[in-house]
Amino acid sequence: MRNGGSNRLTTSVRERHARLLAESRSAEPRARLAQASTRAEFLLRLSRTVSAIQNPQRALETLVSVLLEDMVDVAQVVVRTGQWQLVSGAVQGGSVHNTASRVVDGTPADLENALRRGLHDDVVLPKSGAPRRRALAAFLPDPELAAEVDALGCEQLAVLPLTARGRSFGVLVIGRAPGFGFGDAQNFLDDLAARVAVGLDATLVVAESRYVASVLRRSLAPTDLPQVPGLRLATYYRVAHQSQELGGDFLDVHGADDDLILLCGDVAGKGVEAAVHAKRIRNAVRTASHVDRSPGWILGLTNTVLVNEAEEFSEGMATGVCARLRPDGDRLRVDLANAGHPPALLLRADGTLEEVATEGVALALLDGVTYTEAQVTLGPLDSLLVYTDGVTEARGVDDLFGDRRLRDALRGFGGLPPSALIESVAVAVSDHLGERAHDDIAIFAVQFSPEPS
Amino acid sequence: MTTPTATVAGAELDAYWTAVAAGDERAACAAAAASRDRGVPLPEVLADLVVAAQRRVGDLWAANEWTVAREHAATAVGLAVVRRLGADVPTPVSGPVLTVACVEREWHALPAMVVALMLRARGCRVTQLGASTSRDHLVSAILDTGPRAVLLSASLTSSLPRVRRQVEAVRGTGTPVVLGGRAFGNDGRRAQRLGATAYAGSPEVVLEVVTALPLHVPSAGPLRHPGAFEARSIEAESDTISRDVLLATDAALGLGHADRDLATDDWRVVLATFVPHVIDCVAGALLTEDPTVYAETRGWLGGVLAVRGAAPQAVSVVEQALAQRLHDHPEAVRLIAGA
Repeated sequence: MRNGGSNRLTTSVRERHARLLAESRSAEPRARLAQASTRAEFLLRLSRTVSAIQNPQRALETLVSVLLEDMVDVAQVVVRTGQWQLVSGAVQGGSVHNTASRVVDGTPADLENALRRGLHDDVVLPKSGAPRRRALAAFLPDPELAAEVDALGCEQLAVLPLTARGRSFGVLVIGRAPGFGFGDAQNFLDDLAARVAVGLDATLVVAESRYVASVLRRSLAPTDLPQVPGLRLATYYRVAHQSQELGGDFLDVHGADDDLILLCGDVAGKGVEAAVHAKRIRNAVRTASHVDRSPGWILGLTNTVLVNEAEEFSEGMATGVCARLRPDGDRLRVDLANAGHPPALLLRADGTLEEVATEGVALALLDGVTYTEAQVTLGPLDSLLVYTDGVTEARGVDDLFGDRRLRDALRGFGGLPPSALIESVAVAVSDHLGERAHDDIAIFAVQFSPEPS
Repeated sequence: MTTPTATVAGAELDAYWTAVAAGDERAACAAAAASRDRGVPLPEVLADLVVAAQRRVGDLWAANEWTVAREHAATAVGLAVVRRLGADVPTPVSGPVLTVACVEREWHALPAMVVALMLRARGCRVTQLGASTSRDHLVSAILDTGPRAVLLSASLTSSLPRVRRQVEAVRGTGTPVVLGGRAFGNDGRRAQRLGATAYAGSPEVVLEVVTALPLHVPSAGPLRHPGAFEARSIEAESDTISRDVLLATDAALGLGHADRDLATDDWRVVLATFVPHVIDCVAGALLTEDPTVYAETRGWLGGVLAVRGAAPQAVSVVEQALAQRLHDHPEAVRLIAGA
């Protein structure tokens, strides 16, 4: 029996589907063996493909497309992760519908039940009219997809639970063109669902932990630098390999356009602990700067907070440079304090390089530390450069990158935009490192470039 | 029926180039904005002003007319102009999700930025990872954003071995990978040998190429030809190879390696900077089975050194030292001898 719906399918798709889902009960042993081997190969390829793609939505989309290519004419997968429900579905020859929504937003009751019960279910669809549309809507939350399945003339849906680690977290819904069912394939379908579930579960676990890391990562460096009239800002930020992309270096810039606080720091360690610690320091600096904007005082208070609130995980010391930037006519006033950090550099427009002379004890080591401030003045096109020790301690084939190479990288760059300075340093560091692993690297450059009056 | 569109005017070209040459970001942005305001389409402003000027900047450095610092300054202007033009392009909320990145240790960010902006203007949701994107960073971004495809840009042929490693990383996540940039020559052959899902010969065709991509791809199988094996071995010890070649070159040319107070544009500094690139090009030529990768670089380096007053035999000295150092790599030796 064939009607309009199945005529759309090419013979090759139909043949591929038949290889996996033809009735095998009455077939001769050799044919059954061939089918078993085809099914095993397919399951292996399916789980490989789905497991490789560790982005949840892409994994669902790919699962749907592989199922449509090789096995069925309707495929929809629903998974729950945290508060989110992800759905991906399509019919043969149609485009994939993806949605991500909050779990609370009205999942159809039957789908909800299937999710909760975690049992394989075969749903025979009514032939026409409102009952048919209701039955489809009960399992296919996307109205467009439901309409496409209706138009295909699909007679039956198989609802397969996705279960891993003892909990049901999703449902796979599949269907075939009219005239084709799933016959005696139940064991094969259960096996398929089990494989898919293991792969998707791993992907969801990875995605959840990546989400946590990405929230923490946002606290380490600004994604967008503020646009400040008269100042050009540029940053370079690279996290060491093998640290869940959570490093110990951090950058921050905040305040009003005419009174900006800039912070560049480095906490001992890496990973989640370091990111949390860095976030505490950033917060302490931000809070302190609401009370008094002098960098020495800010670092002093931050140090007191860290020493007094030291918890086991945050006992590691930290270093940092805090600078206050105030444009004043054709000059930029900079007050700067340093807590055990590499010295800030001043690159004058004429190419002269100066170190900003001030030093202090690293943060979180001793109580009652005071930080002295250096005052410097930037003229038009002078730049201030602050960096972490990942720059100077980048390991080359024979030696560390060092101050000298840093100075060489800035030679001839007086007056150039801060993005050019940073790029020159970053290229030199990268050439020096070659393929060797590196520590976190952060560079912050500010150039005073007043609007021509 | 198409209406004739405005093209970049000669006066705008001149104004833009003058601004780039002076490192004047504001004037360059103004020239580009003037073109846009007259109705010149964004792709043309990007191609005829920004990309064309950037090519000229590179040529002027190669010809020793501009210093490295001046080249950086001009490049920064180009990047600022693209950012400024991009600020007027709305960020799409639907449309295909794409990731654009430069290969690790590839610092020519402008072509990738131009491609990203053109795709954004045509309705794609583009994540830009910028210059020198590490494999780890790239894979992380793929897992977090789930792009439809990754577009990798490379301008230098010395990047080809790293391109291969990044293709492997991207395809390992099932994601199609499109390669583009000057490193791939004039056709898609090098890109195909490196395992690309597709090759984009120019920024204008990228969207078309992306639309035709498969939804997911299998991981890249290992390259098994003898050259690929040698390329991996060369890459694994490229640091020490490059140090040995530099020492041998210094000795042969009597340069005195310890003299470090040379200007960045001195030919000896340029030579030392590019020896690692030459080694990567040998590996790239072996990986892609394309000897022109090496021959082109050799010719280019010879020209760059000659205009800087290098000893005429400098490149052959480097080449001999390299062939000697790689004597147990027959494919590499044959490649160098054939150039």
